[in-house]
Amino acid sequence: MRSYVNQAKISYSIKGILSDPATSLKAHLFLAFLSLVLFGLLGLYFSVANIKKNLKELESLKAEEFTLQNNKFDLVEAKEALIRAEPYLGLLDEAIPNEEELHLYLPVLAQKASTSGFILTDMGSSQTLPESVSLGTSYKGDIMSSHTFFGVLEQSPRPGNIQFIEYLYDPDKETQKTKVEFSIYFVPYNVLDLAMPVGGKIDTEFLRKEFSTAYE
Amino acid sequence: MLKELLPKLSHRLKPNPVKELSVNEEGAGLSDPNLLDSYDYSSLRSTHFTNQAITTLRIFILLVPVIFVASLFVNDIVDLRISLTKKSIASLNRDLSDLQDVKNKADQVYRKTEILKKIRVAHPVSSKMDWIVSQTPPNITLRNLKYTENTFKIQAISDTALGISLLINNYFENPAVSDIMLKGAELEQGSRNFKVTLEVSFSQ
Repeated sequence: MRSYVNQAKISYSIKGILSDPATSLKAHLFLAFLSLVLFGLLGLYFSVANIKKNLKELESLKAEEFTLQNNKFDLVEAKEALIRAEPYLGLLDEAIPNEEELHLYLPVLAQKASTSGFILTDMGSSQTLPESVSLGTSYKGDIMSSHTFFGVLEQSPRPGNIQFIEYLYDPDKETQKTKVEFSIYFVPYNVLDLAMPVGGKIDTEFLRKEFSTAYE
Repeated sequence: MLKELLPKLSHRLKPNPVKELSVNEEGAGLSDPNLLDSYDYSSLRSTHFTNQAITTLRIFILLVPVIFVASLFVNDIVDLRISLTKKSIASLNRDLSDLQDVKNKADQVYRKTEILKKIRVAHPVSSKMDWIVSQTPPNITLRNLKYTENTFKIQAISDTALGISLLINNYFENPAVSDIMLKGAELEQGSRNFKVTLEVSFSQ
């Protein structure tokens, strides 16, 4: 009962204060100031700062999502291209294997040279680029009758890219020596990072044209 | 003179306000029912201003928390969008890891294809060599030959000067040959043969 009386007293006294315009104005001013400090300066400041921070994070996440989405589209496309290129992949692997495979290449080279009329006498190799091996080879034989060897070298299943040829004829000793420098290529199997895109689109049309004769 | 007249004029134009007020005070006492004249306008104006200020303050007091709540709401929306984007990224990462093998294989096939294209685009030496050898007349011997970067340096021996001319003429028949330079020519003393050094450049 007493508490009701007290409440009524408080309510009456508040009403009393608010009925006086000057006091009411002061009370409102105080409340406005309190609201400005509590909600405006403290609450809104931190809230807006948080919004700014979150928007920045959202922007970077959206960019990441966009990149991943594009990667996914590229991969789906690449998967279809791989299915289309499937018939030619064996020949492509033979032309440019995953490893150097010099031990397999050299006997084939020697055999092709001898078929063309050259005798392989010397050979040295060095890896000049991450995906190519430079080979320095020497042959005995007449270049006039054995020049078809260069065509064989360039058009073989594992093609070589000729950079240098030197033919020397020694009339005194009657010896003929030919030096050939060329490159063969290989592409190691790399495990790519998830965020990294595929290097580019697979040109299945080129593969079809390149290997269609061999495939048919 | 004027100084004497001015106070009189001013006195006539403006009747004494004190006097009027006293009449009003007298009349307002009991007989005049119009009480408006007795109101203080300045206090009325100040009450009106106070009320307006209080209303504005009330709006302000309400508006600031409303804006704060709205900012919290925006914050929640941004948070929600962040969590949705994170979920989407996680899902994409799962899909991409499933396609990892395809990715590696596709990248390898792409790089191999590009290398093969480069080899094919690099104009083959064999066709040029075929041309150089096949266009050599039978009475001419190629003694030395060197090929680097689309240029052949040839040393040839002929028993006649005409053979050398024929050799140069034959080489010019190929439209791919851009330039032929006669670097040297001499008559060998013992054998009486003509020895020439040529540089044959191909345009592609």
